[in-house]
Amino acid sequence: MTKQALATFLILCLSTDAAESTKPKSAVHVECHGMLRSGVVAIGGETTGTSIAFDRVIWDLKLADETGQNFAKDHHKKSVVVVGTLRRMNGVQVPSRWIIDVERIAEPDRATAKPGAEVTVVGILNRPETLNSPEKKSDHSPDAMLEADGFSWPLDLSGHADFLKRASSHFGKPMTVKGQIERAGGADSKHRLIIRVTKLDSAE
Amino acid sequence: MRFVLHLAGIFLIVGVSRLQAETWAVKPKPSRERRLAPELDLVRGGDCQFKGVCRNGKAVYTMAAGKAVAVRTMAVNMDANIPEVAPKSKRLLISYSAEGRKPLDETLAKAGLKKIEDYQRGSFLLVEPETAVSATTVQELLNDDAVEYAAPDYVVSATPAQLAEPVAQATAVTPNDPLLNQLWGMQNIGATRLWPTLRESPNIIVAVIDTGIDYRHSDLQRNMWSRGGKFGYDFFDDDDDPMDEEGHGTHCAGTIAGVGNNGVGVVGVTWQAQLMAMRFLGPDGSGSTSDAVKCIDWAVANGAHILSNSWAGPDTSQELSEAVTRAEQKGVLFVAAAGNTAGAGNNNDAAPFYPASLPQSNIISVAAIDSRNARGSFSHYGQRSVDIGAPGVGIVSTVPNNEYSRQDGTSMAAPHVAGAAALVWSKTFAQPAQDRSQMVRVRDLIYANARPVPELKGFWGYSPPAKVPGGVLDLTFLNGSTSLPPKRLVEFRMKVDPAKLR
Repeated sequence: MTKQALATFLILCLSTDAAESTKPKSAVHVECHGMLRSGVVAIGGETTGTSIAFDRVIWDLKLADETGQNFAKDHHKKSVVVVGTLRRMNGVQVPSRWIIDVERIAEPDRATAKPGAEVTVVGILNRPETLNSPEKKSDHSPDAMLEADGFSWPLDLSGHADFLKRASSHFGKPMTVKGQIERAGGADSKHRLIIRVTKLDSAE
Repeated sequence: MRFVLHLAGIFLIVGVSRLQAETWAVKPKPSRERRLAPELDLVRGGDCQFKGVCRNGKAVYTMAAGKAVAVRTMAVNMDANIPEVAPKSKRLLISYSAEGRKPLDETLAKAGLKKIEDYQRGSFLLVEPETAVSATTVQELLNDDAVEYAAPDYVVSATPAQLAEPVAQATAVTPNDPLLNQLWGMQNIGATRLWPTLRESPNIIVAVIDTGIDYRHSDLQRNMWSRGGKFGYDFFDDDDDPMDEEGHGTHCAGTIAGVGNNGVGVVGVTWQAQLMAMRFLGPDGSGSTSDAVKCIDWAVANGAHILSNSWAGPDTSQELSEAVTRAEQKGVLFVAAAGNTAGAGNNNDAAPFYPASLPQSNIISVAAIDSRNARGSFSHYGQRSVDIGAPGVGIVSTVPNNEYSRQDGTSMAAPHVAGAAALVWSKTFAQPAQDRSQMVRVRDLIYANARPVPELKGFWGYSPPAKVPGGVLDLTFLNGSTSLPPKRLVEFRMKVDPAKLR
């Protein structure tokens, strides 16, 4: 009886593991070019002390080691390229902020460097709320949303004629999206960030 | 194409303007017309009409389609049917000079405004527009020199029931500020028991080094330090207008020295002090250490006795340390928030946060407690690096545009200590000055009279000059003498078995 119960428990554990492994791991991989600031302080101390800014977007940088921290101090207010994983952190006085866990930080290649961020996000593709509304869709409304790590990324699918069609047949399914971070309505817009998609693949 | 009127919720977000992916709106720069609140200044262009203030405190406008590009860049929530956007209050407050020159009835008639009340004690008229507030309305008000300032009758973020009934009648000792019963921190630190005998520190200058202060807030205006018509300095924009564009500094200022017994909003730990506005944190709430250093030096050079610092970062610099040392040598007290980390906080002994973790003797590093005297879950702590606890959970205070909000953070705890230090300084020294011995005395009185809380023992207060492990701010000692308490007598007892006595 005890053996049977143990066997059932093991099977359940294994099947749960198997189910988990079939789900794509939500993650936002980012390569970001922008101006670095070190020695940053913030209300309530809610900062990593280092940030990168581009197009009036500011993300905190979490540097893994002393080498990275020294690099940041030496490159205060200079252009850098950062590669890492982007995550959202809830705060106390700053309700939420974005942090890049930095895997690589370097001086940019001057020939190709242009401020901005390219992200690769794995998540569940969803319909944008505005499509369900009878109201007219505004110019800045997203074409779809990508749910990853508890955050819904708005997507602009106008980059390729096939994207909208492909998206409509994959709502509710895991997808890998690659694209540039932009402001909905242009660089001077006050509107939220949107991913202008350059690649859209199934993650199943 | 005919004009179609849209109802738009214009989010003049003063308290929240952070660069995040989900941010949709930003606060415009403060009004260029100083006699108008930013919401009314927007109407002067003629492209929109002010309809009132909606439930969440934001302004609502009617605008002509296609004629309001600049306005619409700041607009969100175009759906008039959303209850939160429907105008709740369309009344205006028109301040006039205390000498009694009031706006003419003719002005109000031309402006299309109906007088509801003349609140003489506060020197303002409460008026209601017959239709909406248009460019004509605003211009007529500006044409009348008796109009000192016009603003919406803001919807404050507190429960209406509590706003409707004043806590108490105005007396010499109990302020009539309607949000008093929400200020649990004032009771916790013993301020309410102290106020009958001591409540003002008019000669003490407290510099709020932060996001600036809304120096026009009706609960702060009277307590602003000023020189040459300026209230401090802005090292974020490098100009002499430290107007708050974020809200954090204004919140801190209200806890330190919100005007007491004025029948409006909240009251500070001290009812009267001089608040110096120092701005170096931008609209996203962050700034650079180098600008913080400039703020410290400017405030010290301009006479501040106490610096309230509700900011921090994990990195320090020689420059910051030297600036704090310069303040220390001048005899200026440096109150610093220990820092927040959502979840479990952080041990500053192991992972320091600056400036709170700097070793200078003028620094009081402050942790946050809640109304049950427990550590705020987010509050940084450290036996050797944090000195004292103070209220920092669910703190109601001022935010820009005559509003109020409830906030959590060691940022809210530090201002309680800064306000308390102002009262201690005022009571202890007849002629307060930037003086090292005065500063040390004030600091030591705060430390020596901290109230020990057994549950907090182990978190802070072990490193001299702090004196009470697990101590929290307590001002009740000011009811008596301000001499330092005598050292406690240690009582030795022996257990004696009477049977063995001869």
